[in-house]
Amino acid sequence: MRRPVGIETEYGLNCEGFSATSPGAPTGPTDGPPGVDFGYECASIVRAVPFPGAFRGWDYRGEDPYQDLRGMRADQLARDPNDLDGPDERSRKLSRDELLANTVLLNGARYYNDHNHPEYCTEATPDLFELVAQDRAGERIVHASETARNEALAREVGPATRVRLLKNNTDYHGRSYGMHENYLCARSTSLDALVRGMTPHLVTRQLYAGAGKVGVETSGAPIAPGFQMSQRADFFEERIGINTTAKRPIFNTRDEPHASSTRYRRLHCIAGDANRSEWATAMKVGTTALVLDLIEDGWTAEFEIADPVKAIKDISRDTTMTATVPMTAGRPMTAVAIQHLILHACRASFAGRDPETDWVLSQWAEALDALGSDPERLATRVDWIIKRSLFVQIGTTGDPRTWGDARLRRLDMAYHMIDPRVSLFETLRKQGRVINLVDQDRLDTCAQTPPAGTRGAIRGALLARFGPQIRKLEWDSVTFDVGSKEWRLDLEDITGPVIDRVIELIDRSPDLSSLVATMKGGSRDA
Amino acid sequence: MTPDTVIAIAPEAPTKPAETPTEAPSRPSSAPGETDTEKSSDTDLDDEIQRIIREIPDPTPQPGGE
Repeated sequence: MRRPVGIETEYGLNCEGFSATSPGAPTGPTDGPPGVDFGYECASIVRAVPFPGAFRGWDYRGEDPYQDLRGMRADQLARDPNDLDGPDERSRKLSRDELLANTVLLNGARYYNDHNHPEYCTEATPDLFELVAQDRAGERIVHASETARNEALAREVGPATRVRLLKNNTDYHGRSYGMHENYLCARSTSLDALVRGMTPHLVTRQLYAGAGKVGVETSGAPIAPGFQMSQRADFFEERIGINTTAKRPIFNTRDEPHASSTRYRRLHCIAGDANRSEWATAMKVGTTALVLDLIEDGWTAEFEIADPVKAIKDISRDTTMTATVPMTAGRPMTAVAIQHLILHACRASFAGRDPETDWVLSQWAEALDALGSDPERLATRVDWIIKRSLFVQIGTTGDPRTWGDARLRRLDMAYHMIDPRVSLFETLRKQGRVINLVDQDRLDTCAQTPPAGTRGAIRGALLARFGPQIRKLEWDSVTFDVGSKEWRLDLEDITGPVIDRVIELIDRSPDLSSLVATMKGGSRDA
Repeated sequence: MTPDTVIAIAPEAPTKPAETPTEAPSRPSSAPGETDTEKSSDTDLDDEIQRIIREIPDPTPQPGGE
């Protein structure tokens, strides 16, 4: 890819066997599972991660979710009026650091409690298949912490009380949690061009990147029977906006570049599903990165979906892929036809650029052809088709009423569980019914090794060498205690071959003071 | 997946719908690092699905995120 891309995944948290008599549980009624203090549970899960060398803490200076790409600053962010307010007796006793549980791992990833969900953020990398591997390594890390937390719960409460972590985006009760992709973009690219070019892609890429869902959800209402392509489509309410927890927009305008703000912006893409299929993760990111390349090169989409918010839902719920959506000009189009237009533009500009690009283009073309003729050809790659193919055979003829079967909903949830013992997807993987893109033997290594040539590689090297002296860190800086002073290493402008030179310096320096003395050009006192 | 995969969790519904694929899905073209394992029998899958259905509870409510 022409740019570094990262993936943030908020994992779902299915809580079983908690009761009002669990330690610390409140006595009053709640609208969630009784006795579950989600903040406490989430923090406990993250803090249980059994990986050595982790750093606890985070420097929030680089974060401002109120800053908007449109040049303004939001006074406040929208909140979901139907959000679950569980008990918080235990979490209120935690310090802020204990509750947020920020953990930076040796592979450069951040793992923490975000809105009461364990969130795993990969280091950003321009290598598509390395990104898929890092995302998959995250599943193993999160599962390791799930196991450790359940061992503790078994000791403290009993074996019937446990948490199960899900790589999905819905609780099946009308609430969603996110999977966000982050694409570094040139600040000079017009925001209008980004919105116009990205929106039709974000609305239609669910054709091959949708994770599938049994049910149709509306905030505050019981789940309705049905099967659809996307886990997330039900939850988008606006075309463009800064919010993420309510009034979710298809094009999110949060402006946190985590890099030089004069040169870059970061496309914080929230309109997508968390995938179990490695192929789907690769295609979700690979196609989107190519569309961004097109836009940065001056491409202007000559087509525009008239009502993207309605279209993203209509497309998700039409698994025949024959329905059309109105365009602002010309005849209505199917999602497959819109994707063909985008693919055509990408192929015209980028075919032959490099093997990774050619892989994305060829898989994209093959997928669209299959979607238009025989979608079952994708039943080893596309999550929603893998699911539908299996569910149709085990429980329904496609009659919408049978999609309300609670057992199918349980299986749908089980598809996303990360515990290999109960995960439907892992069962299919083990049985050779889905394809893998990355070497599965590498994943344990990826859990402790950052992607080469990234700022995460510098963070990882610093953690390994000087971890105890790190005071705080974030995506583009690391702050150390050096004697009685703080020293902040700014990673903002460290790119390309300079990264390897910095890592060499870190490895060569006998101690932190020597490193500080050597790196005069890229450092400053905090 | 072959058409022989029939797991009776919804006995009121026909178990072999028209949409059932008639042949195993084709492998995609070669991808960088793509790996694959040999497909196991449908009986093994049936047994695993029945076990998962027995073991997994209904989804519990969760807070919204992001």
